[in-house]
Amino acid sequence: MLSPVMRILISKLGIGWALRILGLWNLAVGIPVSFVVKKRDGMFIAGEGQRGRTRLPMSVAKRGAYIWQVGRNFCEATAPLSDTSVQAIGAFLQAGGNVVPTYFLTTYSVAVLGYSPGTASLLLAISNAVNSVARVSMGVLADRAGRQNTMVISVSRLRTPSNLRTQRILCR
Amino acid sequence: MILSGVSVFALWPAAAREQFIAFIVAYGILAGGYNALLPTTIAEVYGVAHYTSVNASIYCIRGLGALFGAPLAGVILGSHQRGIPATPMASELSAKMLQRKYNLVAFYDAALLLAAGLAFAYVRWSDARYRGRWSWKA
Repeated sequence: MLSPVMRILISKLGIGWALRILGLWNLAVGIPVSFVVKKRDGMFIAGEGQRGRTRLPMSVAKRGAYIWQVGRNFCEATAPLSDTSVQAIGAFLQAGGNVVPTYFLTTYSVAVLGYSPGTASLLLAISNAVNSVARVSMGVLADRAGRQNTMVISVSRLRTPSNLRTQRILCR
Repeated sequence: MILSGVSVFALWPAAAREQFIAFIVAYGILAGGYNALLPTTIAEVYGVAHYTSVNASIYCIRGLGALFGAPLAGVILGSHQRGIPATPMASELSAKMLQRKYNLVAFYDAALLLAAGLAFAYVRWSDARYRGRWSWKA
């Protein structure tokens, strides 16, 4: 969303003023937000119970062994492989996989497909816009179909040939 | 997440222009699910009491994953020369090699996402086992 706007700003006003406008925009958005966020009472009470809250308690970490202990022999090692460690592995893999398309979208479209760099950044903006809409709709879908279900499968209907034809019409 | 891996695997490698745009839209829709749903599923699986600690550590591990994912894809891609090649044959050859390298990147990415999907399917099964019953709407 921001990148076409930034492109226009930079080309018209030069990068100094574009950055200043971006800073002012951040300030304007942040002020109402800071009024809404309230500090919870008792948040800074010193003591063992409050301060240790963000450390991962061992009971949760033992719901699988949080890091899969490879040193044991195989039968013993598969027993602790339950949801915490596998969740950690899954999160690791997903983050690695998530970065690649968003990062390589622009270089791929410039190098292989022959779009101009401006159009490539436009494609990235399209991707971000679709992503933001999808976050909301995935939340709604998860309320209906169950949260873990939606996360595992990420239901979509976009692979049908009729939709590809629509894309072709839209792009001409 | 399984479907996002499938869309990377199916839509990215061959990639004419229209197909690439279809891939962008499909991936945008499918990848949004994970980011939006992770905190609520953590609260559901681990209980609200442990939410802060689990959330913090999962996000830390996600940062590590992003740290390893993109540079590895760059290593697969290798370096290529930008600029106008000397002859048309050279340009076509380099374009084909480039396409092949991007295909490798696409397969690597699809493998990551599919493995993540399998891991989360396992989490769902194991969570059902932990609660003692299977329900379709979890």
